[in-house]
Amino acid sequence: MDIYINNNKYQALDDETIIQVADRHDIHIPRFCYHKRLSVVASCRMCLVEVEGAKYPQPACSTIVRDGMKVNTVGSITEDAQKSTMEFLLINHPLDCPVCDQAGECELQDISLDHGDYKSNYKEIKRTVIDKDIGNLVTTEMTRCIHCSRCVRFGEEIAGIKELGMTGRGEKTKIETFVNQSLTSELSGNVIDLCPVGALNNNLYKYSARTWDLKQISSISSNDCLGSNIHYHTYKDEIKRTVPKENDEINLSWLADSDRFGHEGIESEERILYPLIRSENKLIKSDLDTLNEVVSQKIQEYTLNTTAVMSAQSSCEEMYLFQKFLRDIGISNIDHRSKESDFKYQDKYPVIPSFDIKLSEIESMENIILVNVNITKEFPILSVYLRNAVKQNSTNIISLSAYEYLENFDISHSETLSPKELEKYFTTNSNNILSNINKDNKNLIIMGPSTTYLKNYTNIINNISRYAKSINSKLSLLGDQCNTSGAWAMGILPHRLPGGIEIEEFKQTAYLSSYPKNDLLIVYNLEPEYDFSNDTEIIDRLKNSKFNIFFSSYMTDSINKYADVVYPLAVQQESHGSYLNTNKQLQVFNQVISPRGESKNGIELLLGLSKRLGINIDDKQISEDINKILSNINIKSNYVLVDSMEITNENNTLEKIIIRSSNSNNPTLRRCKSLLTTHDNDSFMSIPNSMKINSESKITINELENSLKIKANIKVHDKPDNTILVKMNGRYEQKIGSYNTSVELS
Amino acid sequence: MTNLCTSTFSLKNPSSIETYLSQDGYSSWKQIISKQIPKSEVITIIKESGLKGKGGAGFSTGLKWSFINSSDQQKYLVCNSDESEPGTCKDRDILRYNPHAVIEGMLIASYAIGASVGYNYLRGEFIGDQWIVFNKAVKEAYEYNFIGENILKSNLCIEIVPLIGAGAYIVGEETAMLESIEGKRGMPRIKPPFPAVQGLYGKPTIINNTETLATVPYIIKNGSEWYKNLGVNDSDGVKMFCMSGHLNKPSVIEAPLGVPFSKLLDECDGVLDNKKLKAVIPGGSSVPVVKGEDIMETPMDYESLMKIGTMLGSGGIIIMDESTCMVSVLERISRFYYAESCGQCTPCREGTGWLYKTLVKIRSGNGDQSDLDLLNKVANQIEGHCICALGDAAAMPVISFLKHFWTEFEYYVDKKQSMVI
Repeated sequence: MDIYINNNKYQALDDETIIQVADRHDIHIPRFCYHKRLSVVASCRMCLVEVEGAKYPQPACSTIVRDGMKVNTVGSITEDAQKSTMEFLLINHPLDCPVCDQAGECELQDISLDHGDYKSNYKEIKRTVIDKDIGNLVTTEMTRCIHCSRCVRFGEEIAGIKELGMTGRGEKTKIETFVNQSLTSELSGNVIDLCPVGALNNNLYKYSARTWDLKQISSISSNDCLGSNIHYHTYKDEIKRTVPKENDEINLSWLADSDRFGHEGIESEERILYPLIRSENKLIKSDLDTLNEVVSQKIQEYTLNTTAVMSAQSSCEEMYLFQKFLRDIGISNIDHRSKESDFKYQDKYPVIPSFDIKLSEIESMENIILVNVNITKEFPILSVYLRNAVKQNSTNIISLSAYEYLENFDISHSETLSPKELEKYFTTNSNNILSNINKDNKNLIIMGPSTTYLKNYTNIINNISRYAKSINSKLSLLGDQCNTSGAWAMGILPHRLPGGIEIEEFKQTAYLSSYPKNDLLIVYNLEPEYDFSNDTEIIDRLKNSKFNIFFSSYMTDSINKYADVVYPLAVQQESHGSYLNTNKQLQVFNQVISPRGESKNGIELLLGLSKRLGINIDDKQISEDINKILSNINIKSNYVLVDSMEITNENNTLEKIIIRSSNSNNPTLRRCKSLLTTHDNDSFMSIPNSMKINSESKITINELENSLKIKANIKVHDKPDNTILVKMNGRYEQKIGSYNTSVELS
Repeated sequence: MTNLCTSTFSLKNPSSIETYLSQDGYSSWKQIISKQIPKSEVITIIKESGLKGKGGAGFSTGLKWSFINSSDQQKYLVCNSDESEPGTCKDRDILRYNPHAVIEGMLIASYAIGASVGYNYLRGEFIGDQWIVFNKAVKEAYEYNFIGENILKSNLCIEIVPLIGAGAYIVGEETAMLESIEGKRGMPRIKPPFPAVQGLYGKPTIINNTETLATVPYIIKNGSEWYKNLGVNDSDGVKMFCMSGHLNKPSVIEAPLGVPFSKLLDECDGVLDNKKLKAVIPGGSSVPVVKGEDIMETPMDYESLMKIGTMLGSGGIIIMDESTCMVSVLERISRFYYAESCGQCTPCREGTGWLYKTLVKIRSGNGDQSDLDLLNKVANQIEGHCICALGDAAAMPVISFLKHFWTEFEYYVDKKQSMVI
């Protein structure tokens, strides 16, 4: 149909509102409560426009277009209505722009300038509101609130937890939490962007810069495998805040809290700012030339007994170069799977493990089975899609995990299963909820990264793949790190070259188990205490090896004790490169700030070392190679079908399972103090009911010869039996233990 | 003067089912069931009777019922007993003295629109009396199998559920009431969609006032022509008028629509102490005030009151004699709307407070001429700019008080005291 706006004819669709038509044609209509991804409430009355034939001006956000409708967004009727709304909004709004963080990007300020009057007739006392403490991420200045209710609707509609709401009525209406508690949603920071005024503020950014001084640089999140698009805002070479960059295929308009507040760790005191070398049992400041000299000599000396482990946090460029120079000089024991312990699956694994469907297709699924994943906490952005599927399409979601996770969408059936039970659950002869799933429906199985930590991962993925095949379901493999897909594609594996080319002789090799002893260890951007499935074992190896080379951004106890040389690695925000996300999209990120101290981008460090070793390659060559490799990869499905497999033995040894925490999943996040103080980081340990332990007993978990004492709240669970669940976050008090060593209670 | 809703008021034990049955109560309902009168016929009877909504808007009830989505889905009826408009006190008496007429009306309406559940939402303040009486009446009706499963062996199932509010005026607005029933904060919804299409829990819903529904059984029993002819001249039917204020005998009177105002005044034995009538608010505090002399011979019906610049509204007639200070009255009215605004939309949330604060300033002797202009300006800025009618309800008294009693307001800001003391 056609409608007329300001006497110009525009095409409009049925059921569209005036504001949608106007937005599409870049016709400005001021608004506060309207947001394209939230429901329409038409409560701010800022978008009132003249509709010819109507007695009063109508809200453009809720008025549905009619054929031939004549709308005027200018002219006295519209302008008077907007001016009067503006006057009402300002009577109780403090005019404290000079001390308000929102100034300069404030919607109220901008619209007031365009549509308001320069003076007000209001002479009475203004309303003030006492603020509640709602946590370390979002601070409030609710006196500035204009009650647009975007934050309230966001909680209800997108995040799925109504943490902010309206209380009181009339002029005394307040937006606040219903009870005095901090926000717990992993998406809570989005209310800061949604707030059109300075009522909800970013605690990290507060009072630290003025918006007009900020420089905006776009980048890619390094905190999960979805690869949310972000903008960093910097001032004087410091990241002041992180905001979402709209991407309709990934993060929509949102950002997870770990992305928004995840830059805090960069300025940690633990940053390694200089090249370090061991001298007289102490690490002392050195220079890169000295390091390269020593390292090249040692590498050549121990070539055959070298193990190199690289983080899947690294960029594709770093990965490609890392494996290339190592392989060129004859080192083949390369891996990125530091948290895994069962590698039998590896030669059947897809060249690039991925989500396999577009995120937007989730909505159309009829059945979704979640395996060992807490979407809401681990992949907050993904939870938005799943929640939408349940709301729009009544998708049936089943959760099968070691712990009864809370999700922000409806789960129709959930079961807590130990790894052994999980393995059996998918075999066809068992009679359970899965037998009800119709293969003619649109089905999807999503496997969480913590499944890969399990001792019987091969059997689990084999059984799940067989089942997935039987119900015509795709298998989505979520990566543990932001570039897990990239690590597989770039050959950070002992048995595959970049592009998935198999190396026959290493088919059954895995980085640790196949090499009982190492003379030289190269650890790239991984922290021995936190990033390994078995921290005691890796520390043992570091202790016994002849030479340890670290590439790290932050100092830890074990690095300080066992490193022989430490390359000062710049963090992601200080580097440039690209990540392959779970949708197999290669996303490029730019350098946002300059590297701290003498730290350097990984590519530069590796290029320097390669050159010293006589390998000639440059930046340009690397990107060309990567693009060539990726364009040649062809993947049919994510199924991992292992030909012969041994069923995991039924024995009653206790198994320890780590509940993955997205807020401490990489070295930088582990140093974000604000994130670590949210409720999500409450640590606990849960033991089976059958163990009959009273709350005062001390629990010691024996791992190898070392005993590890854990300080945490003790919970009790019914299922799964024979399993101790540990949620360990943060790093200030306790170690993150190994993922699957046998456990005894004393 | 006429006894429909009030027919049991003067009887002994008025609220009991026995009393209602002795007045031929539930005969309409039994008739519909036994004769299997089609739904469409019931709607036609109500439409032809000219019955209009008695909560304030005066919209044709039959027409409203005919808007209901005819598809097979779940539908609801809601009886609006959240009678909160200042000056209105008719529903409270109907619920107290003739609750079975409400129940029968709800049953007939539910039947006509195809609803299987009817909610009666009572205002929070009714908890001490009407709530108890109405619940007892519902229980009795269940015992007689007028409500419930397999009603009078007809395979028909209709449930009646009484609900009680928590004391918010705004919940009287029909969509805010739906929100409240759903357990949410009572805030009006944006329309469209109208409740007849998408109402309670997203299902088609009809919302009627208590008095409207209580009138329905009498129309079914006596026919649409009979009801139509009860009114004077062109007006159809009857209305309950709540006469309050400066009167010798304030009363709730059920009278034909179109009855002259003077006659209602006579029924109340005239103005208190036979003082001069100064002003009348004829339809609850939210409608424009009129001067006493302008309304005296006006027929009390929708059209005639519109002609003199006001509305029949809910029929809550507030009488003010010559000793009344109009500035104080307006301040009091403004305070009400200030306190009752839900806070959702900007003009009402911010504007009602502004009006009230300005009036307080004037009353305390700190106002000046510019504040009177400001009141007019703010009221006009609110009117027509809000989601629901509360904004208009707050604005209309201000505009009309200033229009009719400008000199009195001017006197107040000049002399810093009331003209009538």
